[in-house]
Amino acid sequence: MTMSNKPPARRRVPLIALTIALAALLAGAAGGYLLARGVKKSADRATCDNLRCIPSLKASSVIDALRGRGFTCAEKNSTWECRLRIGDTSYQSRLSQRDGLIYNYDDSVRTEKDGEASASTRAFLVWFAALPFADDPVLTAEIDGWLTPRLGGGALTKATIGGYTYDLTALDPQYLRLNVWVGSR
Amino acid sequence: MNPEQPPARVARGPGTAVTILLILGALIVGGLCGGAPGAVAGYVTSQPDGPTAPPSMPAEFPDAARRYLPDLKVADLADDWLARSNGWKCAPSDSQTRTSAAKNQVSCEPTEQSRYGVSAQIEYDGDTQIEYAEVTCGLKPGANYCETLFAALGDALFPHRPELGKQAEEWAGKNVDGDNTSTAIGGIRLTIELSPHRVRAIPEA
Repeated sequence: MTMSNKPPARRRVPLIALTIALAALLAGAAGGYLLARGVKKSADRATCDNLRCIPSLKASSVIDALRGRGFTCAEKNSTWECRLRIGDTSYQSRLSQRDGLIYNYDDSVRTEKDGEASASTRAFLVWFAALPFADDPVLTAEIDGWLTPRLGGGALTKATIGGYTYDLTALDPQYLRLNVWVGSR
Repeated sequence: MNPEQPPARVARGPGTAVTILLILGALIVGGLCGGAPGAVAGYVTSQPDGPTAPPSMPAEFPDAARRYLPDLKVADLADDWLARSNGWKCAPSDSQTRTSAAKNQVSCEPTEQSRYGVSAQIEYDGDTQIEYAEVTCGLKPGANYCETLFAALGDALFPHRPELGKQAEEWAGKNVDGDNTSTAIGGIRLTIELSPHRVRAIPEA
């Protein structure tokens, strides 16, 4: 009885091993996929080509928002440039995109007016500073608190916020410039 | 019961060990072969979640609608104030020199020959779209005429807001000989300069 059962059992073992290997292959694939996806999802920045970009926010949606306020925008070599002049104040914004996402942007306000930055100037720069964190009111408030006191002049500041490099030139309140670099790995 | 049976069971022993080894090996090889490409696929195809739209813009955000002097028409200054009330002559200017980015320009001058060096410039896109207005008064500082003229511009800038007009009139009269003196009233920035002696009105950014 046992002698007659042995050969089929031996033949069954590789079959079982193969089935288990296949099951492990699928489970491993699913596990690896979910694990890597989780790691990537929790990252600060998205990948765009060989660079890093602001996740999910389309460069075109920012351009549309600026155009909605009457800015004149033009694209050249994957970089958008938008301008608006009101009285003696010029607003300018440059956005560099890759795969439709933003990897670098630069905003400046030039004015002939003396004294502290106007409400419009503050609104313009703070809005851009919080651009990558539109869905995060806490971080937005933090950035506002970081930027606004520095617009009075005398500041040349570099900071890393949420993985992004903020570079503020505010030596003279008549020329304020904010550069946000997302791109490096 | 059968004395021949125990050896038979011993013969199956190594089989079980091999089976376990085979199963373990299958698990490891299968898991690794599946896990590596799975991880690569998971990393390449997914992106972190971010904002889907830029933040909403506050009311103070720069707006092209504010690049014109509020509530003011070219006719309010050129026709009503300068031509009708003061007998000045206004004409479109051919000059391409602009202080602002406006398309059109109208120049006004008093008709009396004695008022040399006195003029007004209005730069605009459309009739309700004045980007810049200035009044130049080339008479010597302290001249009564300049004080009256600058004050009158202050008033003329607010045809529909007399309270603000009065405020602007007073400021311009008082600061007529100020050098680069500036104030903001009702969304308009007024600046008085000495060389040349003029008062300028632009929208307050």
